[in-house]
Amino acid sequence: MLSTISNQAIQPSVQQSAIFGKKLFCSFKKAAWIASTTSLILLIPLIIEMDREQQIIELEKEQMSVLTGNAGAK
Amino acid sequence: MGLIYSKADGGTEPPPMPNFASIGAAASAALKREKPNYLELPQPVRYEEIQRENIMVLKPDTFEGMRFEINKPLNPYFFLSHALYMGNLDLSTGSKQMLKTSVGTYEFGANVINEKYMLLGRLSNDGRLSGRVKYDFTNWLSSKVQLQLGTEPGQSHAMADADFKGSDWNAQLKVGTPSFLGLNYFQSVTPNLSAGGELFWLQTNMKSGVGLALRHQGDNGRHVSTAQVASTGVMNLQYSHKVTDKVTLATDLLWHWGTRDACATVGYDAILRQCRLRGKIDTNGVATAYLEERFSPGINFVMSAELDHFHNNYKFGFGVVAGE
Repeated sequence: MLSTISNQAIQPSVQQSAIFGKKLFCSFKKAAWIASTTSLILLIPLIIEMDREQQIIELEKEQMSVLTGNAGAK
Repeated sequence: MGLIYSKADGGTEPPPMPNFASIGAAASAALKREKPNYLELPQPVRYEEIQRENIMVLKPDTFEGMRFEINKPLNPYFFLSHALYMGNLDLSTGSKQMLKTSVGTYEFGANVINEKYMLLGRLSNDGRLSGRVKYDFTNWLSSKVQLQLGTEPGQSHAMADADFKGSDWNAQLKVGTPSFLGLNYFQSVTPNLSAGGELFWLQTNMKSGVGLALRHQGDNGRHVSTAQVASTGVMNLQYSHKVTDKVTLATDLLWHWGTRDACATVGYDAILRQCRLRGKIDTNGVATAYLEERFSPGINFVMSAELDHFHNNYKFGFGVVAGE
């Protein structure tokens, strides 16, 4: 008798937590999708272009130092 | 570029001393700045260009599909332009229903640009002919005429405006065909602050409106803030800041107090040597990015992306713009 009552008391809360867990997972999926696609178009090109800019600046510095270095060596 | 000295002499000479005179000059210039000369205020920007810095950062022309444009100069003053666009036009009204139609258009243009005048003509393959003439009569009066002819009735209209420039103010009078009349005035109040207003009147809808605008630029134009209020129930606040000479950040707040609708935007604009990248994010759940990459001098590759998360509407486009 007591076990059946306690089972009935437990089940709604288990159901509720399952529903809550599903909703949480659903909103986690949505948030992950929005965050990843938005950062893909906003941040990734910026990082790539900043990287290329750094490479160009380093290349120019190297070329300049090579030119002045050659003049000094001679 | 900093201290550059040649190593040709073997490095025997010591590096030159830093120049301290520039600091003294900056201090005396700062003292002079405290007393603005109110009789000689600078010319403010035109009323249409109050939001110029913000629009450059936050409003790139994104598109969906393929775009191909060629600007071909035949003369130092005359150039032809060919513009091809194949893609989707978004006609969704903002409700849940998404409506897109595929269009393919070709537009031919002929342009003459001189110091005193500018003539632009465009003819598109769906029969729309548009032209713009801008002429500077004197250094205080210039005028512009815009004409558009369409194939369907009701698509043709014309608009003429006259710009007057004083020493520290400018005004504009606009007249358009389905009886539109507009007048705006902008005045410098201090060397950094300018204020003005506009009036417009549409006879067909019996609509008229008044607007006020304020623009402040600080620190030699490094940051610009504008505020605009209109009697049509719109308030717009904007701020843009040039963080370094390559990166500008901008933000915008648009508030319709009639429909209680507000939208805030934050965006950046990075002008690097090989490309120009603009990105922004909205409170309507829209993220936009626009990249212009220079493949070789004169050939730019353009990519645009717009993600609308609330309506699940994703638009991507690419194109090539050749010529300047």
